[in-house]
Amino acid sequence: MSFFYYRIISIFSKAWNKEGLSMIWMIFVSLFFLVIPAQVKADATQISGGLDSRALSEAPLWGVGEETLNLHGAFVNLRHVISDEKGDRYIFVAQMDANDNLSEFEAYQVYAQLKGSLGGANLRVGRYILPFGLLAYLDTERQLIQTQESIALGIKLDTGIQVSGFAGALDYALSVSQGTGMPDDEDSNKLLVARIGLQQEENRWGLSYLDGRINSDEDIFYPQGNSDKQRLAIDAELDLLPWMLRIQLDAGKDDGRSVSGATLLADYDVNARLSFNSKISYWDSTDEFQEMVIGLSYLLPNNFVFRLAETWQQINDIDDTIFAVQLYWDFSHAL
Amino acid sequence: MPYKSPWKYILFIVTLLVSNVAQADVCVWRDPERTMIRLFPEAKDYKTEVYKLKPDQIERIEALAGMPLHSTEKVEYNLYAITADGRTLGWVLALAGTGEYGVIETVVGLDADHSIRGVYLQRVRERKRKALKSADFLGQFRGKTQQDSLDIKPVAGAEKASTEITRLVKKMLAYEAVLNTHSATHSNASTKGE
Repeated sequence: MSFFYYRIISIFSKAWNKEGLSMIWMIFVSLFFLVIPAQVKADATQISGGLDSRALSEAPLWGVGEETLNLHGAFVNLRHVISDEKGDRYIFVAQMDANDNLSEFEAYQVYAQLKGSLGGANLRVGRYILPFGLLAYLDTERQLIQTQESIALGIKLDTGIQVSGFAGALDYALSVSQGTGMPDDEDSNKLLVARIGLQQEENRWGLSYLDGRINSDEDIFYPQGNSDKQRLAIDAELDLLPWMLRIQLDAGKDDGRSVSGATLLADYDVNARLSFNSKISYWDSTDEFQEMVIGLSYLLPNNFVFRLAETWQQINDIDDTIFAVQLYWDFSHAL
Repeated sequence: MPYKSPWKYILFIVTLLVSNVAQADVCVWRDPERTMIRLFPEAKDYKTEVYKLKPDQIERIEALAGMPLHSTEKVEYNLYAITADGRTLGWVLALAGTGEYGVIETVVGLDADHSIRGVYLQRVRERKRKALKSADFLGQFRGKTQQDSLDIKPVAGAEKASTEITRLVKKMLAYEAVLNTHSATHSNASTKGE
């Protein structure tokens, strides 16, 4: 079984990185062999996936999407859990995304996780979403209204090592990654991300810190990469029936220049199928970004979701209004 | 609104048609530890047990629950065995239903004797959420087993949600009775579905 997984990881890594296994993938594979037990008691595999079709009235000033009707994205996610005699111990996640009418393929989250007992401490190695601010628990990749990491950080996923867990109402995450958003470690600089959180019955709060060089062109409309960044963020998720509010306040520096921003996502549940969604955000760096979005989300039968959104964006004196329609479908199934 | 190529129409329609054929369940409970500790404070670990449901098991689950399963509930089911120092303390089960204002994710903890230790609402957006999550309502389930009738007094003003939660608990007790063969106390237990 170990050989089987080694082959999968090896093939995946080589396909992903033409120069062969980078150091982080060597660590990945080495760790795998170190931790894999001789006696595996049980394992389970889950496959999930989705289709994200969208039509935009025009291309946004920043963010993703094209001025057309297309299959914006499709993804397949494999999640494999290995248990020993005491409990779930190893989790392997691999997600591939195909974007823009299946013309662009990329790895999304691909990692191995060693689980401590009942979530107290977990070790994750691979490519994962950085635990900074709202990203620690909110992934808006397949939604029309998104968090603003493309502007505020210039990176969302990165390859590295993360320790995370919780104790009572407190949770923590500490990540050291390459800062490139890619498997390659181009400049050998590292990116540190740390977050502590407090989770209560109807709300959660977090304080995040990021420090390091980010060398990424993840956002094709507004490349933020290649700068030394420091960020401090406060995030909150407040479940105030019928509202769900998510807030993030950021402050920091890009190559010594002060930057700051704020995001508010507000959802209102009308009934079991319909919710209204909105966002207002602001980012101040060398340029000034503002965005306001209003939209709705309607749950259809058979796991389909229909979404509408009207977005107003402004960079300095240039502004634009985009109307977007989305039909989204996803599934999950045990293998 | 410009559309650059007719192939995009075709691809769009084909992918939607193909996707509509698939039958699947979207219910992935990926970070269950906090809820497990809430139900089993003495727990040290847990183990996920995935069961792919066979036709005879589905029939028996439906018979025990006294209601048909939704198509997405007939594919698979997960039990979470809660452990401490090598002992199985009990099991945790989760199932999602629909209230007036969205999904109600209900979690049940069962003791080693298969009686309900506690019920927890992982996600509920009903306007009467506080009353639904109260000990007055959820405490009514405590100690019940699959053989007991669930005569649960609903929350005033949230009758639909109360009924849905009760139905979900009944279904979970039926799933556990049919799938969980770790104990001989279930007279109608079958072989493991995997």
